[in-house]
Amino acid sequence: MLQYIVRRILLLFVTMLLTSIIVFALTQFIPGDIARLLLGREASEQALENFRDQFGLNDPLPQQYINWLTGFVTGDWGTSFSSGNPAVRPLVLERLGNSLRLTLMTLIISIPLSIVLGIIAALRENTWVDSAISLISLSVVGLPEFVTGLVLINVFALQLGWFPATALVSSDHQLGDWLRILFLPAVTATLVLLGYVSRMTRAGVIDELKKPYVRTAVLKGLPRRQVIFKHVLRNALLPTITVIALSVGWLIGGLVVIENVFNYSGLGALLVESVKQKNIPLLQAVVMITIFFYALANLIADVLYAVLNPRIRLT
Amino acid sequence: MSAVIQANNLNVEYRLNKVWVNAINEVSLTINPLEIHGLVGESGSGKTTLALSLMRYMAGNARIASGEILLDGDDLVRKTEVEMRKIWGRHLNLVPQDPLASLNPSYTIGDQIAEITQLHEGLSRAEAWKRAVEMLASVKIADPEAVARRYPHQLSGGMQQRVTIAMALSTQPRLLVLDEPTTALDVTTQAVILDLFRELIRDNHAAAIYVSHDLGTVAQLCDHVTVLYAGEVMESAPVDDLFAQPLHPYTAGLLASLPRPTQNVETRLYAIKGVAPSLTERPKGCVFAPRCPLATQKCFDEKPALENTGTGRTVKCHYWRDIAAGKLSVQAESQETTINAAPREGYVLNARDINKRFGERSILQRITGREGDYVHAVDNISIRIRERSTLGLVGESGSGKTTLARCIVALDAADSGEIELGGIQISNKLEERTKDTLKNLPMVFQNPNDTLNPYQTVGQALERPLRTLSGEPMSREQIRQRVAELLQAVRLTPEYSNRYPSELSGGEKQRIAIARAFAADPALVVADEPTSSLDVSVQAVILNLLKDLRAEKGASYLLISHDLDVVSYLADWIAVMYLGEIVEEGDTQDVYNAPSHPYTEALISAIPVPDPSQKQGHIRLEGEIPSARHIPSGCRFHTRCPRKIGKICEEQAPPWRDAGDGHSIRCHIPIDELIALQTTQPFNNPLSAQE
Amino acid sequence: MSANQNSVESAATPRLFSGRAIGRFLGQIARRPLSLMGMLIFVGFIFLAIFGPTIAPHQFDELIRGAQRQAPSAEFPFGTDRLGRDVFSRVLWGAREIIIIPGVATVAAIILGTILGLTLGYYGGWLDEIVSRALDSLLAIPALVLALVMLGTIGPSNIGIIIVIVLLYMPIVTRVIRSATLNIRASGYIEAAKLRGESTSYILFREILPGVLPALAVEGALRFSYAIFLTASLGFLGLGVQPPSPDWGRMVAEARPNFARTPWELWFPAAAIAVLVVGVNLMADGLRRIFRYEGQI
Repeated sequence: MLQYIVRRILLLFVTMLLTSIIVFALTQFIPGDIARLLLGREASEQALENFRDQFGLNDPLPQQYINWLTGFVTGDWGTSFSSGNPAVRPLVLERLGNSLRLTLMTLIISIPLSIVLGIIAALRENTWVDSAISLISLSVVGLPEFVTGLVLINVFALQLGWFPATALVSSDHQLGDWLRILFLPAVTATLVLLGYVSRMTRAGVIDELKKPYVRTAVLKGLPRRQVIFKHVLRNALLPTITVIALSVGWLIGGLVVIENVFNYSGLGALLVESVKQKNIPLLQAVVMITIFFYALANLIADVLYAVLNPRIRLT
Repeated sequence: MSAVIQANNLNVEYRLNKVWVNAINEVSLTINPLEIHGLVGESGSGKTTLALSLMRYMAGNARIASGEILLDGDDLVRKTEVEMRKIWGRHLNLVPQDPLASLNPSYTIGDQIAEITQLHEGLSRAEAWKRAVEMLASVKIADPEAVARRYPHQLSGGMQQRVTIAMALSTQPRLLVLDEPTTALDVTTQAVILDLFRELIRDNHAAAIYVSHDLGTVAQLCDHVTVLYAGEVMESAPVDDLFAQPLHPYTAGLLASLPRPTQNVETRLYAIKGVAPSLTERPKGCVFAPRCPLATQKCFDEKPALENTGTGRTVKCHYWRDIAAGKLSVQAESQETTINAAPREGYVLNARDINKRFGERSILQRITGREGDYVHAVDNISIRIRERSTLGLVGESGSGKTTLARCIVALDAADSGEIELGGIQISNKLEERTKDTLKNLPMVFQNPNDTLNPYQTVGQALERPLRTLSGEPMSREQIRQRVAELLQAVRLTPEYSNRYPSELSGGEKQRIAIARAFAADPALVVADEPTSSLDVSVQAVILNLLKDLRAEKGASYLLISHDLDVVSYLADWIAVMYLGEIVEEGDTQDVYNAPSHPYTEALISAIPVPDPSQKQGHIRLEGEIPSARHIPSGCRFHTRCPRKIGKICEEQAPPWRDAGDGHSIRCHIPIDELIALQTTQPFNNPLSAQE
Repeated sequence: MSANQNSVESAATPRLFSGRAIGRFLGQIARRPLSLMGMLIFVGFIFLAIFGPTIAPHQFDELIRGAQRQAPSAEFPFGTDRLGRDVFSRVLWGAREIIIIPGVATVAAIILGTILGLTLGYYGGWLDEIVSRALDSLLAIPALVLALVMLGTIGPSNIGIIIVIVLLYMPIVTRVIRSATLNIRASGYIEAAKLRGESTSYILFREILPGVLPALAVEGALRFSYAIFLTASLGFLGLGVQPPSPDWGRMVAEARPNFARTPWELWFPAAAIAVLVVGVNLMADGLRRIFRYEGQI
């Protein structure tokens, strides 16, 4: 078991290393001369050269990669290309904190809700309840976040005025303020996850209900409640752990759009900004941090799954 | 003596495509205290449905349409599910077919057994746990405390089945339902489990229903037998009477279709023609009439009643009196013999020193220079097969017999060794084999359900080898001709060429697979458990067919099976494998008789003889076959050998000993001592009993 | 071997798409109202993609004089925007790109993923090990993030979007087909084909491929719906199909500042995206149920 966890952590590092290569390689494809692109047509040769020197753009690529990677690992995330050259790290960490708040809020709303819906749909398989849940989840899974987000803003912010239409962050926010501004974005993100998680939960429970050990439990004379909660869900919800971790990947994509819809200053909004500005150091840092958290979520899920599953824990 | 459970005119229906169809038709049966009642039938006969219905457990799409089920006089049909919960687990318990899947993977064995007594007897957790450990000890599990703390996947198949038995017995139920409980086990383990059933059911004063397709285990275990066909009772009788003189043509047919080692080599197995009806097209008259050799117009028009013969038997046949009097017999037609073409002198296959290891060294093992985790599946094996003969390869699962066969056809490439086909050495690698080699060496696979591509018609499946392997180009007309001939050879009509595999029964699929193997006139057909997933009546058809084709086409077989009786029907030479080695080989008759390798002796002893008057042998093997990853030192069989003589068995590999006529045994015990041991402590060998 | 390539070859084509099979399939779709609805929406949008520009009353960039900011009416069913462009016409024109770009990309991803998945699943070994690992690390990057980085570097263009979608979904299709192939690889009929000395391409495309077609159909429909979703989201973020050609996602983003005055400018393209994606999703779900295929979503 310990061996499994160690192997899994090693795998995390390998994944990070591989993806860092992919990210670094991708960011080299920017057509044209970065310095010229950023400093403008009128910049002097000297200014361009200074810029290249400053950001190490004259070094050979592998050298640039190594410098970047060691810098990143040791906490030097470089300086942003944008005016004033602010350090990348504090900016990214601040935005990361905001995004994590939103993620947490989303998970708190969406996970219990979608699991319960999935279980209900499975236990009422092929009834109108099941069809209704299935239709709802299929619909919301198909709606792009900017559509649902705009609908929610229109109804709950503009028409009813219950929540603010934009989620502007301020340094003196109390918990209540956070809840108020995060609610609509979190509900929007919940709709992204709801369909996926509830349908996978439903499939898992239906699958499990067909297994012979359920018959064994019924034929022990156990009450239905105990058969479902003690025997079926114990096994059916195990794969849901993996499903949730995978859905974090979706959530991250969804957050990029949602943060833009709600003008929320999170990592996703920063990502779009840095792409539009071709701000490479910033872009690399944002992407690497995002990937790291996604990989971490998967790692936690895998370990949790193994710990809770005797078939993996004891082999 | 009042019945434990009594079913009266029970009808069970399934909902298929929005229509209720009858699955169990007017079944009445009585099970008395202390009785083990066998429910026998082929797949689709409704035996499991009936057994579960008697527990009043219905699948989601099933219902009891009418009838009553009396448990100690109390009608279960009228009970609600909530009321049944007081009876399930307490008075009616199930021992399921697939123990691993029937245990919850996430709870310990102890917890799962304790759950039952906590629920029904109000025991505390600690008391219930203690009882669970006692129950595990009572099913002869060696270290019950440790096993109670384990999870199902950590136990072997035989142990898992013991656990489900312990669970089922922990509340001292009135009735146990044993649903094919040994089907997934090796024959040696099955023998041990059957002994356990016999003993425990007696000690617990319970009654039991034993559901099985295997007439051998039924004969050995049951007191009374009910034969089901298409959801109806055909015949019900005390076990001795039923096997001594079946009164229903179906029962008689089933018994006659079993291969037995006592058979004359020319005997043809009796084969019941046709297939069982589907639920939706039940014949109007006798359900068995379309397949019955004795059927008359009356049988098609008029449904026979289940009649009491007055001797404790019931039978559902218009002509049972004539059968009882010996005026009618289904056997008559089966007396015809086959041409058992004698083997020719030359060898079609000569394989020498075949080795095959699986697994590899991990990077870590390579760096540290350690040995890899190898599984030595085939260890230096040599076999020869004569022209127009059959070599039978037997052994438990894990013995390496399938790997050996796959090395011969090169689906797995042997690591070393030489293979000669028709005197010419051929490559061990499939891609290096010539077209001529491929043509001569086809294989028939075990699972009929994946042996044919579901997206190709039978015709397409048979055309392809004709086109790729047969020597000269053929016209479309010639190919159609040949396909028709092949279908004819496996006793199917040419119309089959347009069917898809989903439209065929298991036996038909296997026949097509055999036709495909014979398409290019092979020299040697390798058949890996070709009948193990088929019903006995279908198995008889396939075995007859293989025998006929051997004579007609002059091919040889390498036949792999775990079932010695199947092997003995076709093979003239048998090799017994254990953990990657051959431990005995010889003429079929010689292998069955003393002297035998102790392993062979145990295998034969474990066979449940389909005749209650011949008791099963008494030799039982401890434990299960060791993993090929950790092969025991010395004689590989010493960990389980009932005839182990001492340290030498653990330390030295045994020598080959010659018992005459090419019959050799790999054992430390000399031949004459083996003979002495095996004749002074004999068991009921079906062959020696006859002599 | 050459002797086999005679006139009878055509007879060996698996009749997976026989009239009987198609009829049965349509019958099953028709029995599920939601799946049927999805199918009809899908077909309807395909129709719009082909004929939308023809039936549109105006050019997408036509500035209709004196018709700025008109609410929906008989003349302008979806109203007009701040510049006096007919929203209805713009939505109709936009149908083409939102169908064609994800469509082409999905087809390419499916074809590449199938070939790769069949090969990896059939051969296994170190090739499978390496390629699967590489694809896994591609999948370790959340889809939209990867899309943004790639489009940010190669610049937003239709070809760029197609490449991004292919790179995103090809690994997923590969995975699905690879595991389906792994299941089939050990079947008796594949081993029988090997023992006949069949070529690898025959085994892959004649023996295995028909067995994975149901999985492919479901995968294709699902990936298509996500591709539309992604294209629209990129458009919304300003990195999608470039102006002036109308793109539903960008139309929504551009309509936001004017939302208080011309809400219809936002709702109609948004509704078009929603109906299309939900429709394709319903269709995919119907396919999954009919083929009894429980894959990843």
